[in-house]
Amino acid sequence: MRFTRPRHILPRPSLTLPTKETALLSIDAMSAAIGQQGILHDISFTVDRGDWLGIVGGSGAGKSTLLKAILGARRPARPQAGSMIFDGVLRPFAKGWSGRPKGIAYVPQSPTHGLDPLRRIKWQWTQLFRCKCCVADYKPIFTALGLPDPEMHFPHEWSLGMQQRLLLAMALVEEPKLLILDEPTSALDTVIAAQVLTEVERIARDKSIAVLMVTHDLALAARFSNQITIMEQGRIVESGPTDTVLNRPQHPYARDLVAHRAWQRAETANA
Amino acid sequence: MSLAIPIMSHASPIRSFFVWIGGLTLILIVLLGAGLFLTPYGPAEADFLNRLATPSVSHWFGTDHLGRDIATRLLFGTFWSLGLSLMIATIGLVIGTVIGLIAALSGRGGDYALMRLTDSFFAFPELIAAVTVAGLFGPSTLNLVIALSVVSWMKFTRLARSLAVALSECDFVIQARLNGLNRWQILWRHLLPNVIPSLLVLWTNSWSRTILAVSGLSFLGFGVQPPQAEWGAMLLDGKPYMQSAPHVMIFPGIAVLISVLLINLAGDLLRDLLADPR
Repeated sequence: MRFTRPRHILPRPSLTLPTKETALLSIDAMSAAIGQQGILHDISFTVDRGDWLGIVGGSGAGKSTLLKAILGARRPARPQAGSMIFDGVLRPFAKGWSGRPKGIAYVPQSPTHGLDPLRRIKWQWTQLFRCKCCVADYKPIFTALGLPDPEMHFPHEWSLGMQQRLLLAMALVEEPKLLILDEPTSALDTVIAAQVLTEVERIARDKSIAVLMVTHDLALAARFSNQITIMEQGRIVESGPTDTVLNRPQHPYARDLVAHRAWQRAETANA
Repeated sequence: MSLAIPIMSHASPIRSFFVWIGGLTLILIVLLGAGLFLTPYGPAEADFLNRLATPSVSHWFGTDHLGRDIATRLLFGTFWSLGLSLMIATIGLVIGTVIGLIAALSGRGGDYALMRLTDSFFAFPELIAAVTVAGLFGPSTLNLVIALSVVSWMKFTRLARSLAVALSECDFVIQARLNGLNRWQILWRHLLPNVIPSLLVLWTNSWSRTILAVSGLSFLGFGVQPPQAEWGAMLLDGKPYMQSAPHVMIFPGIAVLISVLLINLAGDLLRDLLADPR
């Protein structure tokens, strides 16, 4: 038997709170499961405006599931309890919501899965706006990201770095308040990954977009984030400002991660 | 069309082999069309004075036990053998794809029910099932088509469903769903175009296998009935004279062999071109 909270206790989703002082995104006591198997347990964190939060964890820690839940997906894992306040709007996870909340943009993990391989780039771009019911010119944002005119190209005719920047353009064109990056470097080589992330950093600073980045690479998170959250087996085990987490990790898993990074550092220092 | 250029420009042995296959297919199609217009005989035109004549200038592939010209019957038989099996393979493709995509899109229960249905159809041995249907409803061309269609759709279902499920996990489909496209729009815009190339490769494979099935069933007497000039039925006609006039069976046999081989090779070519767009 599955336990669900009675409907009448849930606050109304349209409840708006004063926005200036509160966090942009705050997740409270969220949990999710696939069938009977719990995937996420008691997840709570906040992202302030202009923050860059790095969520670090190994494979299977539930990082991607968490992102998908924030975006409103209910597959493969179904969020069961907890609530999310984004931009002053409260949404209970158990009730769910259809579609991505306005103001959150998502950059998929890899261009090979993020772009339909059989559709021309321009088609994918216009489809994005057919769903959003508005028309957007690709030229300004493509120029800003150093992308050429798509002409009649298919995604595979562009390099992976260009495809990743295209995904970024697709996410940024809606002028989001929160940008979600799912393992932004896993499909790219280190040089291009650095280029793409530096680009994100510049745009995020210019337009004061908060960034939520999921990665298994603590060094990467340390380089870009000002807040770090470490996840293990569906739970948050360590959380705080980057410096605190790196210098005084409390949890054994976090300590291991940090130590591994120190070992890497020692090696590069000797070389 | 940029697809044709790499075949010609890369002079690897495999590529030039495929060019040869394509050329041979074209030549055969041209010969078929020309032959249908130019042949002086009809497919069922008997000439009893000329029974079981060996190949000659007036009868290129000889004549059968009723004095009918074998070359002409082979030409007309193309439509029976290749056409019927193409039709059956296409029916299987359409039914299988529809069921597979419905299974992928419907929830866990629908998926389970449809895939177990598919599994249960897999449990029938293909030809035996066709023989049973022909035995129940009587041997005729229509029953042959029905019988073979009933057992030909499952592999398309399996493939379409597994590809569609894998695609649904892809970020572009998730994005489309989060952007508010409903499942039918996602089906038409993303799933179907990405599923079709692999299905087409399977379809050519299914076509060549169905040629064998149609000919085999006709040879057993369950399919296309003689006097129709189907290749398997022609083999059946020639069987009593196999010792004294082997050409009556050899030429239809060669026709089946070549067409199955060419379609299989064309399927390989299609797979190289379509299955991986990158």
